[in-house]
Amino acid sequence: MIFIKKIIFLWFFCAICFSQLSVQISQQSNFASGKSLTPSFPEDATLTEDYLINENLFNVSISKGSFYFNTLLEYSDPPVFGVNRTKLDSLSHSYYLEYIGDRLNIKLGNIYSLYTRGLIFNTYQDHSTDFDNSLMGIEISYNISNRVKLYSVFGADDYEFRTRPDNQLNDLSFPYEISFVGSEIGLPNDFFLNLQFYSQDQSIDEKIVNSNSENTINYYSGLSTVFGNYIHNNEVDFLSDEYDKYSIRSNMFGGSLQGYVFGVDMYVEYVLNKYTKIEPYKEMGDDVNGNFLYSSLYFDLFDAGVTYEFKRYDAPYFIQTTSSPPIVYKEASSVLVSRIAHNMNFTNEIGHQFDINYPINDIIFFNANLSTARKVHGMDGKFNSVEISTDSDMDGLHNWGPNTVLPSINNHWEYNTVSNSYQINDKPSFMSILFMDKDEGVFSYSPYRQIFMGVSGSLLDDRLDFSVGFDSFNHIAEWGQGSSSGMNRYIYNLETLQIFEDDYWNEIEQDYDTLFEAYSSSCSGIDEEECISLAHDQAASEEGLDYSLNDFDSFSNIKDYYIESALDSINQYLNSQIRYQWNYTTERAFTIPTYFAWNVGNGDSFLLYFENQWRKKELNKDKVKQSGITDNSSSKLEEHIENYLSLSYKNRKGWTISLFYNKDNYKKSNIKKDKVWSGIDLTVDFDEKEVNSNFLNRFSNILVGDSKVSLFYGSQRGGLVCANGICAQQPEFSEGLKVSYTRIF
Amino acid sequence: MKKNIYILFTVLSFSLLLSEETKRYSKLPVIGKNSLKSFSGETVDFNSLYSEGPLLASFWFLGCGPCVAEMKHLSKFNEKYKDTGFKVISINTDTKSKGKVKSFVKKKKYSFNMFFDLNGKNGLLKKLGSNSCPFTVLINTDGTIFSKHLGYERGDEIALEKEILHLIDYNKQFKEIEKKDSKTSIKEESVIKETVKTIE
Repeated sequence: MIFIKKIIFLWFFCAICFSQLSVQISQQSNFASGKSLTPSFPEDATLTEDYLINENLFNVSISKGSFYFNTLLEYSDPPVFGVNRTKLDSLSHSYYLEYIGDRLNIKLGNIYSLYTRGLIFNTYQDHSTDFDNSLMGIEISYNISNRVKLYSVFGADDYEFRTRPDNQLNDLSFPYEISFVGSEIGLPNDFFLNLQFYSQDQSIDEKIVNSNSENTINYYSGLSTVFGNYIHNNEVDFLSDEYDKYSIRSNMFGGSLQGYVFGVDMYVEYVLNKYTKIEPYKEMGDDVNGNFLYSSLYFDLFDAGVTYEFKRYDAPYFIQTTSSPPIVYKEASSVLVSRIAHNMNFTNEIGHQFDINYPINDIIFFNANLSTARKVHGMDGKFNSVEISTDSDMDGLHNWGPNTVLPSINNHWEYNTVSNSYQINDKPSFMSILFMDKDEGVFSYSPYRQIFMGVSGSLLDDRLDFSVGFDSFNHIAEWGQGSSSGMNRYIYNLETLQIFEDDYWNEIEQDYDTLFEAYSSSCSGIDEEECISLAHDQAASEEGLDYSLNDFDSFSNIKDYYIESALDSINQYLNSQIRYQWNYTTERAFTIPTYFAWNVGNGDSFLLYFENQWRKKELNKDKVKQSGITDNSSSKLEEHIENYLSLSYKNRKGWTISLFYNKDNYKKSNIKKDKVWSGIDLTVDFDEKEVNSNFLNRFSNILVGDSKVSLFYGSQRGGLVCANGICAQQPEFSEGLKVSYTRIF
Repeated sequence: MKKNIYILFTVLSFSLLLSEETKRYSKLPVIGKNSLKSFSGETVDFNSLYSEGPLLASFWFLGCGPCVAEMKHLSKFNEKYKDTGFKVISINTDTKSKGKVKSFVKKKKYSFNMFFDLNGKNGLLKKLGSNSCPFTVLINTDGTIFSKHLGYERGDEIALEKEILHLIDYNKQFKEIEKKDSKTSIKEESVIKETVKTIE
């Protein structure tokens, strides 16, 4: 690795010193000074910290002859995300040297590449979530002819990830190495075929731990995924066996076909993934088969362009590194819609997307999009068999008689619960996902549905640009929590009480008769009837009965009465017990994003973004009792009504002033609060002046050149930024100044 | 260590200052013949696109509102100045939503050609010096960069059109000078600079 680094930088410096070069440099600097609030709204921030950002990124590209060098230099102290880079040896974020020949291409260094649709290989960097899955290695491609191309990548790296979205840094990693070869073949009739083979070795090392002493095994055991549950159920074995390192090998065979047939543009890609499942007591587990399938169709229907996409990513025990396939849902293009995102599972998800573009006329367009998804393998439910028996005190109470047993019958139960997981085998239908049916068989597959409809175009002689739409979002964000199931079902097996047994009553009856005979033996004369009645009452009272043969015709009727009362009481008690309990989090949002731009003329314009969102997040822990009554006291519902407004004026001289206003009305149970974030931004766009113009212009070129400076004062909402299954928490920024500077050299 | 950092930044700053004269009309970086793909999947050599006339290459992706707002103006410019040899190409950098691009573009009936960058934002966009969109590069017929622009706001199209006219004019004059002195190899950067000075 160091050798590669040395070669590349040697070339870099030699190239700079000894030759004429084509140099492309872009700079992105961000500075901020204010306060950050942790945690962000709607939680009550308890911690206010200075928020100081000094992040400078230089993307440097140098080209000479057939060679091209690119490096991303970073000087940050601190950056928005990631580690501080202030030392010389940490300035280079990534780099590669490329040889570009007529037929042969060789790249050495950090490999950022996408092959076909990325089902096997798609390495990229996403600054917004601090994601980078590039690997250090060599990439070679060779064009045998115009219609046949061979390509390959060989390399190794550490795959780094965050265990919590609010972590500032990636805190766990595991090493992996890959070999990847493929070919692209042009077939007759403009069909294109790709064939690929990929081999990967991963090593999960228990000794690599983060600051919470958590290793990769611990991390996965806390995820509410199929893989997470599997690790959780075997976590003790993983941590107690003799292995510290587990090897995972993956061999993938992929093929894709692209072409145009019968008026339909089609693309299909399938990857068979034979990988080893991580297992305790084995350095390398047994082989399991997984697969990834992606396809898309495009055709015209009654002047409307219709695109249909389908995905089926099924390798639930696979840990992805370089694989990053298409998402198959609409990417957020509005501020508020981006606040709620489907967190996709790239190894266990099936989904559809329908997208329609229809030109109403030459200048107004209609767009509709429907995206649905669910897990391929649903999560297990939990079946709890509850044995109910009487506790030891109950035997003593029986000795005191039925009138003591009856009132306290439900206070002396002991429970013994045996839990078993069960699988939901019936897959939810497309319609049940579309309507998000509240059904365990649907929700255990973590369904997602999003509908967008909008109209955009120009009006008033092309002076007004507009876009108006609505977006309806609904998904099960989490089914269960960690290792606990999303559904718990209960059945109760009641052990027979003595009060139901004939022997118990025979004994009472005999004692009753004996007592009655004893008390009634002296009854005679005119008060005989009253005396006998009293004898019954005394006998009943001593036997612990509230009723005697004065009240009932026979002793069996007394017995039936007590048994019936006991059964009623127990049934009443059982009715108050849980039959099943939900445990899931759902998020729903309805957003109306609008955009209007008014061209005043001569380069002046106004721009307005106005968006409203109604958002609900519900932690549903509803308990449905045996009686059918629902107890929702454990559930929590959060409601947001959020408005976003941004108004800008752009001046022909290259400056733009913008006002921002963002308000969130929040309600949770009895708590109601709202918050406003607002700010003002001034952006100045500097254009490079003519080369042969006067001294001031030349000086201006050196100083600012072709650049953009943006000054923002105010506060900005923090929160979770999610993209492609990766999430990172942006801190809330309060009352401060942010400066961003972009320059293209 | 701080000393080293200061040294590095000083060196970089001086290099930038010194490179001021050569920055404009600098040569395009070396670009592979297989960087772009057409809608039908055919490989397109980027270098062949500017040889016939000056070129405006615009980078965009589906979720980028300003990109989409700019594209209708680019389409008009492409139509308006096609007789001069000028043309616009649009390069899509979507990697995860590629499937929907074709439908979007076809229904908008843009007059320019649309291509996919195989490596998304890590491909040609990065090579030409940016990592965000919309990004517009104006390229001379000799493979040098006339200008670059990052971002788009309503009204920017007026300045852009002026620049396109300047680009067309520059390339016209460049060709005339080239014809006059056919012995001169215009591939040499020193000659390019001389030619530029003559034109300006």
